[in-house]
Amino acid sequence: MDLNSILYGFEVALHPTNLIFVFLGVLIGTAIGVLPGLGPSATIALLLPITYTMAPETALIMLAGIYYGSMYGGTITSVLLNLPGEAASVITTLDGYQMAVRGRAGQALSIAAIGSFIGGMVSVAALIFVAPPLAALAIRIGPPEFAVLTLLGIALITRLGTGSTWKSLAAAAFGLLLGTVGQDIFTGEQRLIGGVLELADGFDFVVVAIGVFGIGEILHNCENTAAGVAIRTKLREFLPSRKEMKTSAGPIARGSALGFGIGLLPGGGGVLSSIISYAWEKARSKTPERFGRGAIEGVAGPETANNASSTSAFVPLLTLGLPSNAVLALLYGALLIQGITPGPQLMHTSPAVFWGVIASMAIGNVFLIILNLPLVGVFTQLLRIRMSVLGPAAILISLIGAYSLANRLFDVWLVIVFGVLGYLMRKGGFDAAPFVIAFILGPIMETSFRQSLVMSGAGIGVYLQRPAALAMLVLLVAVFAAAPLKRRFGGRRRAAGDRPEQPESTPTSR
Amino acid sequence: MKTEHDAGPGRWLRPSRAIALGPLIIGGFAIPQGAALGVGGFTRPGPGLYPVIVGVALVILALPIFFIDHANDVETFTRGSLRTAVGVLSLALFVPLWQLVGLTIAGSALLFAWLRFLGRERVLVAALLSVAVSACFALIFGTLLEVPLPHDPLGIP
Repeated sequence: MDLNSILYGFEVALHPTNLIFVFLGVLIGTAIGVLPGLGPSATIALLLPITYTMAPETALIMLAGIYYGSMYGGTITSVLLNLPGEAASVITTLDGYQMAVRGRAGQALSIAAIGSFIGGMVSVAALIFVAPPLAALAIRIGPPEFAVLTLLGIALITRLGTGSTWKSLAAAAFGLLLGTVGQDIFTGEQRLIGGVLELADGFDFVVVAIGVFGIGEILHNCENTAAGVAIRTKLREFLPSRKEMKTSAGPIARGSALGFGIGLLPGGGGVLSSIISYAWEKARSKTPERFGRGAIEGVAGPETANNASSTSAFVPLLTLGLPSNAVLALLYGALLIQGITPGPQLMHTSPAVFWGVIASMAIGNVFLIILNLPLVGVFTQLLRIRMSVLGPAAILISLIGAYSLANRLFDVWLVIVFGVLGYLMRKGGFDAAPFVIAFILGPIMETSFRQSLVMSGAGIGVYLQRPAALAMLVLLVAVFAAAPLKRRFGGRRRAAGDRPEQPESTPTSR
Repeated sequence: MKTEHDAGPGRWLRPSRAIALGPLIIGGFAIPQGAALGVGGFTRPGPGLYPVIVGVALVILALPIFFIDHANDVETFTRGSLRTAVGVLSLALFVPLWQLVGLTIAGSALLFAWLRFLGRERVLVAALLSVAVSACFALIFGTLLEVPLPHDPLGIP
């Protein structure tokens, strides 16, 4: 570990401009986490055009703030309304809402904020140690390993999603195909553009993301008009008792370690870590029957794990150039727009971005706890803005944002087309996240795939000759072979446990 | 609720099965397109090799979606879908309108349509909000961010 690098990171993060933007980021993040119907992916996609004029580190610091800020914000609606503001908070509804029903909403929200703070800080600290060796290792990875690694990353995302694996795989394959549209970088030939010259450079990822996530979501919401929600829960008592703090200490510690570990995996992230943490806490509890009836451990553990993993998920992004979920894929794209390619070299070529973002996460977590503990009541007021008002405004800003990419109306048409595609995917039960991630990773995967074929001269056999590539292929097979086993386990657990009522609908692709 | 084992005349055309047509058609389109570009070989891959592989994967994935996967996650079109159709139509009308009369007027019209007819806001609220929001966006993008927006006769950006 290089102390100077970290100090440099803090120097960048504490620059007044960056301080303002990390604050803005976590504020916007918390706000959109609270608002059902507008997730971090959609918001970040909508804000991308605004980041063009910013310095790269400032842009990423703000977008990262939105990401982990939304992890906090999502908790608030899960606890108060049984409505997870984003997918990773689904598990919090189980005990968090039950606590609220029993008049302990304040305690649930505070313990979630405290746990998230600790999880985030532990993760940032661990990240400082883990990132440099991982980046050093990543430099030794050649095209064959990289091709398999990107394939593994995409495959893991389809496995870990909330929808059907087959459909997620199909969505990912479609994303890979769309990634080939435009000029072939090896031969210069135009591929799959259907005579449309504007497509010569391929689809802009911002257009795809704004359309599929932002507009697709709003078109889908437009169909199911949700009535405005009113909050009846009173938040008189905020802080958990000493006994509750003591009960939560273990789950928070375990959640931090677990979340950090899961976040490192390509394909890991908030949803998986919170589910595993919940299962772990329930399994080791002496009174598992309390779970689902307002057990504070069921809030403390998952919320900690979810925030720890969303922080450590920056490791594969910044060192391997592998975004592990849709939001990070958007951050990846934001860096590409700035002319920076995330990967092993990032630490050396753009130290301000690398260390600045890591340091800003520590500062962002401090802002979040300051914001969250006293302002919980204020954030809940945001729920009064109806989606019928928010949606149209978001659509208009999406269309203008698409136009401003290249100052042409063609992109506005494309955004509308991708919006319809996003809507149809939601109707058909296809998860939008694997689609967008595969679209972004597709060109990288194709390039390394073709490079490895050309350089080896051994054809497909090259993947069997390289031990690391082979190991990852074995892992890939194992991930899919594990599915039937998991289904069996899952079935047994469901049958045995007295699970509380699940929320009717949960956002899957936000 | 119907389950996957329900027998009946519509069994083969259930939405959860019909959805397999999506990957089948897309894959079926990609294979000949890729092949036409030149597939090459595994030691000298052509520009069409990768699209063909992905196309084949899509066609193959259509099979389990048709035969195995019957999760109840397909939403059929309802009366509510008409609202979405109207919404899409309004977006399609917005683009030429934007080019013709500029962002402030076109944006206000789009927002008004959404707020009033899709969101059922009151006329006055919808009118005020739509003008205020679109003028605000025109200022942010046109004046502050200096995006060369299509000509606005009101001269706002």
